[in-house]
This record gives sequence, structure tokens and C-alpha cells, in this order.
Amino acid sequence: MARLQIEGLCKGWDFPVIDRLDLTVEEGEFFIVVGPSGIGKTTLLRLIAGLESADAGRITIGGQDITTLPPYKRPVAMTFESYALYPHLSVFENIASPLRARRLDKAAVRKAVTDVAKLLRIETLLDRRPGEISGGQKQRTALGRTLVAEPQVFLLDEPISHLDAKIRHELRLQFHSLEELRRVATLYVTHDYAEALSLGDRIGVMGHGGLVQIGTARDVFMRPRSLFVAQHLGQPAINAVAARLTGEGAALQARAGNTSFGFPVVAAHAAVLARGDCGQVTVGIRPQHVRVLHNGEDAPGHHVIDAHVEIYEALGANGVLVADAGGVNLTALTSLERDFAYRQPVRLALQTDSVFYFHADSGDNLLL
Amino acid sequence: MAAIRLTQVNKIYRSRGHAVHAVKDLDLTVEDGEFVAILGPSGCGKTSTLRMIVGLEDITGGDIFFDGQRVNDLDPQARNVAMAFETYALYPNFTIEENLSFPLEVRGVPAAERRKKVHDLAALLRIEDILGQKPAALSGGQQQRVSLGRALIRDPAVFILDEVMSHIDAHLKFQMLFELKRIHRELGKTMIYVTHDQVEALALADRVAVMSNATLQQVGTRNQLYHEPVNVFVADFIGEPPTNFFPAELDPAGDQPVLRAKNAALTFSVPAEQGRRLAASGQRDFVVGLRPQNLRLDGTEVGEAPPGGTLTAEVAINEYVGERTVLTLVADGHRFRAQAHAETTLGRGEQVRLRYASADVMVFDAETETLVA
Repeated sequence: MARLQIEGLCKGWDFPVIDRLDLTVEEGEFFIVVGPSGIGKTTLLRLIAGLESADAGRITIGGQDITTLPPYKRPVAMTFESYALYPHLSVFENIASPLRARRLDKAAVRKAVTDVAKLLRIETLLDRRPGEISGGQKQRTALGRTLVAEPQVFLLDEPISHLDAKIRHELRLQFHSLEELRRVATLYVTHDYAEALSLGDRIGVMGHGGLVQIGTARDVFMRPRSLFVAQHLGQPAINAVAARLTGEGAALQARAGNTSFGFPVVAAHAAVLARGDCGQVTVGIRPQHVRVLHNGEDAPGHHVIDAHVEIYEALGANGVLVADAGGVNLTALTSLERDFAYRQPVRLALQTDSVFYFHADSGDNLLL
Repeated sequence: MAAIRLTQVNKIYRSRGHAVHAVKDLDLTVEDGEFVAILGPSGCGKTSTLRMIVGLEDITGGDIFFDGQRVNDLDPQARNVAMAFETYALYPNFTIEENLSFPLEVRGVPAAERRKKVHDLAALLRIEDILGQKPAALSGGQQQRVSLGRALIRDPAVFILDEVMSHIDAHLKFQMLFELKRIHRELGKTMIYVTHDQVEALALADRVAVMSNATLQQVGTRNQLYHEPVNVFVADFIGEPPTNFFPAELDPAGDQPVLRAKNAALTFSVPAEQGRRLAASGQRDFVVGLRPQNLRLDGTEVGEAPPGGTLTAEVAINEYVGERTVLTLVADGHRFRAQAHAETTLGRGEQVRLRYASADVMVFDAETETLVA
């Protein structure tokens, strides 16, 4: 059985990159680690692959302790963000390299390589060398080399992040349906939250020292444990407004200091917040929960505020509007069909039942 | 300031006895002060094009003009083009101010003028507060801005950016896009931005040139590329999730011709006038394109539904991406995607009905793959 188990893993002493990290990835599970760059995601993969040595802790695969095994004896296959292809070998030979070591016969190698090349749409490039193909094609070659290796654990470091949208979506579907991946444990690292939410059976959000939250896509997006988690999932990023909670019970209000921005706290939230002693909070409002109203439109159940447009840009599938709401800049998502002019007055409807409240200092989600 | 014109530009690389035609008969004009993006999948020839404009690569055939002057034989430095790369080598033991000031110093610009230029540029890039720091102390986004500053300090006529954002974290990228747009607006310089990322290209550029297979496919504004893609490639490449395509046959019977997906019960209605035009063309084989955003779960549309039709399908995959859900659906062996609300919890095997507007149906010639309606 190829379950990957990590216990108390540490790397670094004074400022540990990884500090007492515990994680179990089941056989067949697709586990995604998401986090900002430089936080230690790649280091975690390198520790498992044996390219870095752990300072403390234990790593086992299928019950076998591999913590001190040399890399080549570990049953893992890893892709590197920098591709690490052999420059003097053709794309075919690069993909075939893990099979050569196993001395498979010629026909079997050819079949395995062409199958994976077709999957990744690089079958016409097999004769070229890495120097003669583009960055995206190199990335797919590197991914192909990992996929043919048939390890017990896949370690994928940003395997599709530099590809264009179409191939990325296609490969996402492949990851959803590849049978090979359902027989092994996969640890996949990315900085792209959409990729993480879409692909992960479970997702671990990495902060300083380790995983700050582990859960399903809906868990981490809809019930973020902290402001850090909420800020790293979602685009545009969540609106974070420093505010004071004032008033009593059902009349509880959130007000941002030195501005006229404020809204009533919904009863369900007020009941939870009243239990703690938290005057100063950070209010988190996702851009999709700020709706720009059409002229004369009503928004029952929402808190409506007057604002005027600061910036409007069409970005990707949505328009993004930044509006000044009584001294606080709020970002909202709109449909692409609409257009807004600088300083144009707009009315924003806040979906106040979807607002998060975070502790002003620790950033902990106060509703959990 | 400069306008750039490329006429019939070709690039052929020869290596190990075989030739690769990287850019074919490219015609492109960039107006003075315009922001143009060159967008295409990896290996489409966009970087080769850019390198020819800068002068880092010989031009195999054709001409490049800057303000009417032919620059084919000019050295890179004589063209007054600045290029910002994804990673701009900054001197690690110099402060940011010294890094920015250095290119001016080499040119013998007096100290007082250097100071003024650096501070003006720092104000534009909003990096005044880090001028005294060393590069290693900066965050990714700050380093990126300093790199832009290094390229801009020479006051080039044309400013070229090569995939400068592809390694920036998603949440910083958004902010950088806004910043870059503002910088262009304030500088008013001719800018060319090369990327494989359509979101970046469409967000930044006044016009986008889409390339594929060494050939320019279409140049247009975001709305033109989105609503009137000239061919299947552009329709496929622009938009996320990618456009759905259905090989289809025209059923000209009746006064309202419809397109019927091959070997399937799926039909697509197009606006009446377009339908009549397709029927009159005598052709029967087409490809229907429909964007996932334009396929809405029945009952979720706001207001009155525009004239259109419905499709019935089975959910194969539900991809939750936070702000929305992407459904992969299967109907009679056709696989396609629809975008739905984040709250959609439909799972594998469930039946759904989707509504589309006729005006959103794109029709392409099956053979030439060009847009016909």
C-alpha cells in the first residue's frame, strides 16, 4: 500500500522553513499544497524526494521508512519547476529515461512514451531536443517523464502553471480522470488557488512553517481558518477592512475607523461574535459578495451602500471594479457586459451573511 | 516615441540540417503610444517576433520600420528599444537607487539629473520607499517593478515586455496588471507585451495580436476577439474555460434553420437571418462554438431569457474554483463545459438542462475553420 505519511518533519533551525509538519496522503489521493512563493512548498517536495535531508521527523511510504534513504532508492517520481531535462537527449529519450533504467524492451518503451506524449500533445516533438522547443513544451516533456515512471508517490512541482489556459484546462481534466493517479499518492504543489481548488481531493494551505489549514476545496474557501488563508484563495483577493464592532446584540454594527463605512452584523454572526471579547476586527468580504446594482435595482437581504468608481478593468471572465465606499476601497466582481466611468456613482450590495470576521492581531477566523 | 510597422516578416531557423519556420509573412502595425500584446501558445513564434523587433535576431525576410525608418540592419542599441525580461539581473550589492541610476551614469548623465530622473521614475513605479534597499530585501512584486524601472530609465522610444508576469503569484499579479496599465497611461509610450496568458493580454493591451503556428491569426480589441473571433483557433484560445465546439450539420428544413450536432440529439438555433444566410450558402457542414459562460443552468438566468434554446446533458465533473463552478458535461458522446454559480453542488451522473442565447452561438466553416456566422 502506497500511503505517504509525514510525522514531525522539520527543516531549518532558527527560522525553520518547515516546522513539525504532519501530513498523510492516502493511496489514490490527490493532495494539493498551495501557498505563496518562497514559503517552502518546493522544499517539502525535495525532502520527500530525498534531495534535502530532514532535520527531524519521519517520512514513510507504504509503511517503509524512507527518511534516510538516498533519492534513487525512494519509490517517488518528481517534476521540477525548472524542468531539469537532459539537453543532449531528444524529447523521446528524455521521457524514456526512467524506463531505460528498468531495462524494458524497446517496443514497451516506445508504446509508453508515445502514449504519454499523445496525452500531453507533444507527439510531434519527440525528435526535437529541449533547446528546440518552447518553455510550455519543455514543461510537458518533464511531466511526461514523471508520468511514465510508475512510482508509488508522485511529487509534482507547479506542473501546469506556465501553460496556456486551454492546455491547462485539458490537463486538469486529465488529472481528474487519469487512472494511473488513482493507484498512487500524489502531492502536488502550486501557487494557483483555482488549480488547487479544482484538482485537490484535499488541499493544504501553506504558511510560515507548515500547513495552516487542510480541508476540501469548499472547506478552505468557505471556512478559512485565518485571514492568511482567505487572502491566498480567490482572485481578486478578498477585501480586508479594519473595523470596530459596536453596539449590543441584534444591533451589532461593524464600522471602519475614520470613515463612514459600516454595516449591521447579521444575527447569526452577532451571536457568535458576542461570545468573544473582540472590539477590533478585520472584516473580510469576497469580491463576489459585493454586487454592483443596476439602476433602480433592489437587493433584499443585502446591505446597500453608496460608492463611486475608482478603477474598472475587464479581466478574464469578469469585470473588476474598485469603488470608494465612504472612505474604504472595495473590490467587486461584475459581468463583462457592463462598463463604468471613473468617479461614476454606484450602489453596492454587500452580502453580509457571507462576511468573515478575523481577529485583528492573530488573524484567526472568529466565526469558527 | 515611435510607431512600429512589420511587413511580411519571416524567420526561419536552421539547425542540424532541418529548417523551422518560426514566423510566417507577419504584417503588424503598432501605433505611436499604443499598448499591443502578442499572444499565443508556446512555440507560436511570438518570442521570435519580439526578438526581431528588438534586434536580437536576424530577419530572414521582410522589413521592420520604426516611424517609417527601416531598422533591419540597425543594432539593438541604435533602435532605442528597451526590453524588460521576466528576471532582470539587478546588481545585488547596489541599492535600488544605484541600480536605477547606473545605466545613466554609464552614459555620462550629470549627477543632479540622474537623481531627478530616478526619483521621478520611482514615484511613477511607487518604489520611493525602497530606493535605499538592496535587491535581496525586496518581495517578488517589488523586484518586478524595479526591473521595469531598469528598462524605463533610459527613456526608450519603444518598451517591450517579455512574459514579465508569468512567475508572479496569482494574488500579486492582479495588482501588477493594474499598476502596469496605470504606468502605460501615465507614460504614453509605445509598449509591446508578449505573453501566453490571455488574461494578462486582454487586461492590459489596447489591441491583442493572436499568433499560432508562426502565423498571425487576428488583431483586435478584447471585444472583437471575444465576440467575433475570425476562426476556431482564436475562439478556442481566447476565453477561460475554453470554448466548446460541436461539429454540426445544417438542417435547412422549415423557416427556422437549425444546426444539429453530429451523431447527437443536440441542436443549436441561430438568429433567423443568419440561419437563412447559412441555408442559402448551400454548405451543410459547420462547427458550432459556444462559450461555457453562455451556457447557463436552466432557471438561474436573471430577467427575461433572450431567444435561444436548451441542451440536456449529464454532469461528468464538477470543478469548484471558489468564485464559480465549472461543470464538465456529457451528452451523446459530446463533452463540453458550462460555468455555474459557486453554490452548484451537482455531482457526477446528474441530469441538467442548460439554456443559451442564439446570439451567442458562433458558427465556423467545418473545412476552413473561419467564422461564418
